[in-house]
Amino acid sequence: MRTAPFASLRSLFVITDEQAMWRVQTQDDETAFAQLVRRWEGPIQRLCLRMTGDLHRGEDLAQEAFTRVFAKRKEYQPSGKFSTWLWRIALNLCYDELRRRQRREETSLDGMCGEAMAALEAFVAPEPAPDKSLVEQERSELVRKALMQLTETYRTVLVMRHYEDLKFREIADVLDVPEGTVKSRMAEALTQMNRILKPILAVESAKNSMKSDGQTVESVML
Amino acid sequence: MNHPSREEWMSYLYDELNADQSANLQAHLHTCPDCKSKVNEWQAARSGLDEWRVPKRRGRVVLAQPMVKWAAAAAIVLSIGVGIGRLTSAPLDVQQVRAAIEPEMRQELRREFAQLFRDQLDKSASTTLAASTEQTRQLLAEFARAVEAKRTEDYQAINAALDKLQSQRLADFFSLKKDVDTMAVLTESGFRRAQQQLVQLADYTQPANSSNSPQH
Repeated sequence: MRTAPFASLRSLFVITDEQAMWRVQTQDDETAFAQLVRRWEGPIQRLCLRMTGDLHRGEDLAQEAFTRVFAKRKEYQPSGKFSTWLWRIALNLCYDELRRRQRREETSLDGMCGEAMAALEAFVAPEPAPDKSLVEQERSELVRKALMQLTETYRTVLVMRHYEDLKFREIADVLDVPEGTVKSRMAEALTQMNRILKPILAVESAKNSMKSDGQTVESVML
Repeated sequence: MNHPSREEWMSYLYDELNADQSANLQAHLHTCPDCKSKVNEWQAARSGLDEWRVPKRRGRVVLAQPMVKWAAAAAIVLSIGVGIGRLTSAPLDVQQVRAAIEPEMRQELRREFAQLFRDQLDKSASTTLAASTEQTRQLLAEFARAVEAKRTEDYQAINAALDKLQSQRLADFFSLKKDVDTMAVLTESGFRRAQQQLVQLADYTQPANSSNSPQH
C-alpha cells in the first residue's frame, strides 16, 4: 500500500516517448535516447525476427533501426506518435532485407548444392527455447515456415496485430492505409494461413499420436 | 440474412468492438452456420500462429551512451572514405568479378560445410564412445570389487569353521585323555587291592579247630 503513492509520483517524472524523442532531436540527449532504446528494443527485435524469420538477423535489424532513428532524428515530426515512426523505420528495414535476400537467392544461390543449402537453412532457423519439447519445436518451425510463405503485405498485418498486439488503427497509421484495408488484409492473411497450416499441422498431430501408439511413421506418410 | 463483413469479424476476433457490437456478432454466430464456419477457420489460423514461440530477447541492442557520438563520427569518416574510394577507383565489372570468384566461393563453402558436418559427427561419435567405455569400465570395476568381497567373506567363513572344528577336536582329545588316565589310575589301585587280598589270602592259616567247634 505504501508503494502506490510513490509509483504514481514516479510516473509524473517518467517522460513519454515523444518527449524523449524531442530531447534527442533538439539536444542530442543520449540519456533520453538510451531510454527509448530500452523501452522499444524488445518489440522491435520481435518484429524484425517475425518478419525475416531469422533470430540473429532480427537482432541486427533492430540495432540498425535504432541507429537509423538517431541518424534521422531531425526528420521526426513531433506531431506524430514516436512508436508509429519507429515501427515504420523497422518495417522498411525488414522489407529491404527481404528484398536483398530474394535477389541473393535468385542470383548466386541457385546453383548451390542441396547439402549446403540444408546446412544454411539449419543455421538460419531460430534457436528454440531450451525448455520446449521436441514436438512443440517442430510445430513452431512449421508455423514459422508457413508464415514465411505469405507475401510481405499479409505477413506485416499478421505480425503487427497478432504477435505485437497493435490496434488496427495504429497499423493503419504505420502503413499509411485506411483501417478497413488493414482489416481486410488481416482476414485474407488468416484465410491463407489456415489453408497452409491446416494440412501440415493435421499431419503433424497424426504423426505424433501414431508415434505414441507405437506404430510406424511411414504408414502415415503413405 | 445480413452477414457482418470480414472487417467486422476481424474487429470481433481481436476484441476491438464495444460490448453491444460484440454481443450482436456473437448472436449472429449462433444463427448463421456460414459465418460460424468462416470464423472457425480464422480461429484455427490464430491458434496455429500461437504455436510459433520465439526465445526471450537477449538484449543485444545496447548502446552505451558515450559511444554514440564516437560511432556517429566513425560512420561519417568511414562513409567519406568509401565515397572517395568509389569516386577515385575505376568502375568494377560486377559480373566479371562474380564469375571469377563464384566457383571458388562455392567450392570453399561446400568444403567448409562438409568439414563442419564431419567435425560435428566425429565429436558426437567420440563423446558417445568415450561415455560408453567409461560406463563399461565402471561396471567392470564394480563387478570385480563385488567378486573380491564375496571371496574374502567365503574365506573367512571357512577359516572360522575350520578353527572351530580344530578346537572341538582338541577338547575331545583332552577329555578322552583325562578319562583314560583316570581309568588307568583306578585300574591300578584295583590291581593293588586285589594283590593285597591275594597276599592276605595266602597268609591265611586255618585256625586250630579246637576250641570253638560248634559241633562239640
